[in-house]
Amino acid sequence: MNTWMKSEGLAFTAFVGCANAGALWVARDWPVRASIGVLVLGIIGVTLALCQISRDLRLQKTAQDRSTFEAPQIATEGKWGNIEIWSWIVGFYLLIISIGFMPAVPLFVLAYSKFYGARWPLSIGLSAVAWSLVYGVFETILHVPWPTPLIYSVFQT
Amino acid sequence: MLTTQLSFTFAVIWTLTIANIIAVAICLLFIKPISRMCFMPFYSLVPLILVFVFIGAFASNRTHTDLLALMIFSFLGFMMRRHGWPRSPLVLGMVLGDKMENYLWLSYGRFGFEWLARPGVMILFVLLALSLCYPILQDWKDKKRRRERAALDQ
Repeated sequence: MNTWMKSEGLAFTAFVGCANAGALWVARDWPVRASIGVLVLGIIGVTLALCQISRDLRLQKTAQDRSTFEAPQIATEGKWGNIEIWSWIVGFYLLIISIGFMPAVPLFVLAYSKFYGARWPLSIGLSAVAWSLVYGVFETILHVPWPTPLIYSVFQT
Repeated sequence: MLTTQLSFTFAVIWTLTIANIIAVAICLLFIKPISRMCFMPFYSLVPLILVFVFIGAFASNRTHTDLLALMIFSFLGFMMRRHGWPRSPLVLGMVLGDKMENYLWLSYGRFGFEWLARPGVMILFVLLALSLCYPILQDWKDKKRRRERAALDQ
C-alpha cells in the first residue's frame, strides 16, 4: 500500500469520524425519543473512527500494510480503471437529470454497450429491451411519476 | 384482524405460502438458463444493472434526492471497498436501523437504564464484545506469527 493510499485511508476515516461527530452535535438538543439512535450510533461511530485513526497512524509510522478482513481487491478493468466506471455512473445520473429517465435509459445502454465493443444489433436490442422493461413495468403498470428533466424547464422559458 | 377477520388473515397467509412455493418452482425450473447469465459479456449486463439500480433508488420515494443519495452511498461503498472496510455491517445497519432505534427507545422508555443489567442483554453484550475483540486478537496473532517467522529466518 503506497503513501497516497494510506493518507487517503486516513482522510476517509477522519471524514467518517467527523460525520458521526457532526451528527452528535446536531442531535445534542433534540428530545430523547428523536436523538437516542443518533447518540448511541454516533458515540460508537466516533469511538471506532478514533481507534481506526490511531491504528492507521501507527501503521503509517511503521510502514506496515493495514490488514483487512476481505478478499484482495480485484484489478479494475479498462484503461482508466475506477475513473472510467465513475464517469459512466455520473454521466448516467446527469443524463437522467437533463433529459429524463425514459430517453436516458436506451441512450445509456446503447452508448455503454457500443463503447465496450458490442455489435450494433446487440446494442440496439439491449437498448430496446431496457426501454421496454422500464416503459412496460414502471410507466404503464406502476405509473411512476418521473422527475421533470432540466431540458423541459429550458424550453419552457 | 385475528379476532374479527380470521378467514381473511388465513387467506393472506395461504396466498403468501402458495406464492412462495410457485416462486421456488419457477426458480428451480429456470435455474440453468439463469446461471448462464454469468457467462454473458459485462457490457450487456452492467448497463441493465445500472438502469435498474437507478430506477429502484428513484421509485422508493420518487424524488430527485434519492438519486443524489444513491450517488453518495455509491461513493461511500466505493471508498469502503477501496480501503478494505466491510460493507455488510453498513447494509445491515441500514435495514435494521429503524427497528433498532424503535426497540432501543421502547426498552429505555419502559425500564430506563435497568434493561442493560438483564441477563439476555448482558449475554448479547458479551457476544458483541467478543466479535469486536476477534479482529484485534487475529491481528495480534498475525503479528506474532510474522515476528516468529522473521526470527526463524535470521
